[in-house]
Amino acid sequence: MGEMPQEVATSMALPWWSVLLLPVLLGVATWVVLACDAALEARPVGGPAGMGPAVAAPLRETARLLVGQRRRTLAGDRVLGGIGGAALPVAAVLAAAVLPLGERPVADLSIGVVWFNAMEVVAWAAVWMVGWGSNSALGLVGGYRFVAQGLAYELPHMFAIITAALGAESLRLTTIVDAQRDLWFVVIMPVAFAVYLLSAAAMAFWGPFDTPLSREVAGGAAVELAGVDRLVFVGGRWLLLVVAAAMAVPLFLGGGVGPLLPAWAWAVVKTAAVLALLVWLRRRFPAVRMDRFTEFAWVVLIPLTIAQALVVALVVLQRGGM
Amino acid sequence: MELPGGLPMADLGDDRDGLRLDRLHVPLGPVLPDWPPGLVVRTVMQGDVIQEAAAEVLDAGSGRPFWRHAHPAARELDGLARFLGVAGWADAAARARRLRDELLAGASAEHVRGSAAALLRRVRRSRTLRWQLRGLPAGPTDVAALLDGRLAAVEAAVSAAAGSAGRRASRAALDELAGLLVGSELAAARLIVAAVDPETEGASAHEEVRHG
Repeated sequence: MGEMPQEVATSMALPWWSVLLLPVLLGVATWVVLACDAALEARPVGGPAGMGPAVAAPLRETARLLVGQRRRTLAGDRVLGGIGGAALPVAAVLAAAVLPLGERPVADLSIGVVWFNAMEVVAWAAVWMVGWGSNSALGLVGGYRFVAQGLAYELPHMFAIITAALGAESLRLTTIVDAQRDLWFVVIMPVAFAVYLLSAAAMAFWGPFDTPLSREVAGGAAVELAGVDRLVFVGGRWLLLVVAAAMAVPLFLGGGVGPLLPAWAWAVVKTAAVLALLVWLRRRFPAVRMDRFTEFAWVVLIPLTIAQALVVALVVLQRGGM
Repeated sequence: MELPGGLPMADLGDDRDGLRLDRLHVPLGPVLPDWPPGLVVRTVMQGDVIQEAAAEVLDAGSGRPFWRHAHPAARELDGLARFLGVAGWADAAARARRLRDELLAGASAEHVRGSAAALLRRVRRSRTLRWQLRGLPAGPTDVAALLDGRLAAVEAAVSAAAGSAGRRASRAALDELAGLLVGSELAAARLIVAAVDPETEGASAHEEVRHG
């Protein structure tokens, strides 16, 4: 690495108490996305229109799940399933720790990209544990579907985020944002950005990649979850989706950089745009099964992302970096 | 030996590669989302691959047949909605269900023709859906071809002259269904059942067909 003054600047992190703020912020963002999704959901069905019922829908559902009875299955592994369910929201919040909220993250780790990746992979274990813990055939099928999905999306995903790190010559997210002051990374690495969007949906088992929890296996890994167990698991999944979308902003969309508005506002606007894209993706496409997608991911996406990384490496070399 | 929860151990059987693996007895239905009403497919599975299948209709012949007096297009749209639901396309499925409900509420076929044509065009044009269905074996043909048949049936039923009941599309009987499922994975099996969309209302009582 060349001389990087930012590398020594460890004071970029927000004060420690902002850790407490993180779940609140993510919760609010999740609520907004849920409300928008509910409003879109109501449209083709001809249900109650407008934002009023849609805004209330997540609250109503939360209250219903809080008072609802938890479900026990015969010979289920409650400890394993419980740990899995709780791991999902915890992993999402921990992944968000390195996310710059505007300019500064809660924890400005020098290996931020790797930290995010590690937290996101916790979801694999979480979904599998929940599926196994229910001792139900459909739950088990759902759990294993997510493991297969991980095998398909993870390698292209890692090449995509590493390309962003390569462009900035750093794994620190604040440095990656600084490197985009002149030019957003999405411009010089569009393939990596597109692959990142796909894998953001896949890691939150969202949109066309929701077969681990699909309706066709009666809810898959989450089939036996009820009451507060379901609230924690499904809430964790939404948090993960929001964090995955928000991470696209520092990696590819220039972080909080923008005219007029303060950095945090730009981060919010850009995150909202990515989330809108993901919500649209789900309505636009039918589910993608891994017995078809894995081939595409390994034969098409991996070579594409490697070629993208190569191009970015040449750009960096030509600039006189490394 | 005390077994966990008093459940029997899974028995062993040869799988498609000749390995001896656990076999699990899993009934599919009668209650599953987007599943033909009353249908039960009792399967023997290894992993999520179906080794044996037996299809039957619960309480066949009892109760009042619902679809017999409804508009044929409503029946076809109901089947299409269930297929799209199984294919994980909630948005398109919701549109099909809405058209079905309009017909059941007494709207004329002319009234829904435009939106039905738009829906069919959208489903036919979806390259992702084709990619997911092409080459999924369902007997002599594949699921994509079965879907084409269903879409044509919707089209014919919607454009049949108003007032005339229109011809009802022929559907595969139960005995063909169980045979199609053997050797397929659970996701494929669900797509096959939804694409075949067997008639479960008129089935004779205690009809059971076993394959495997």
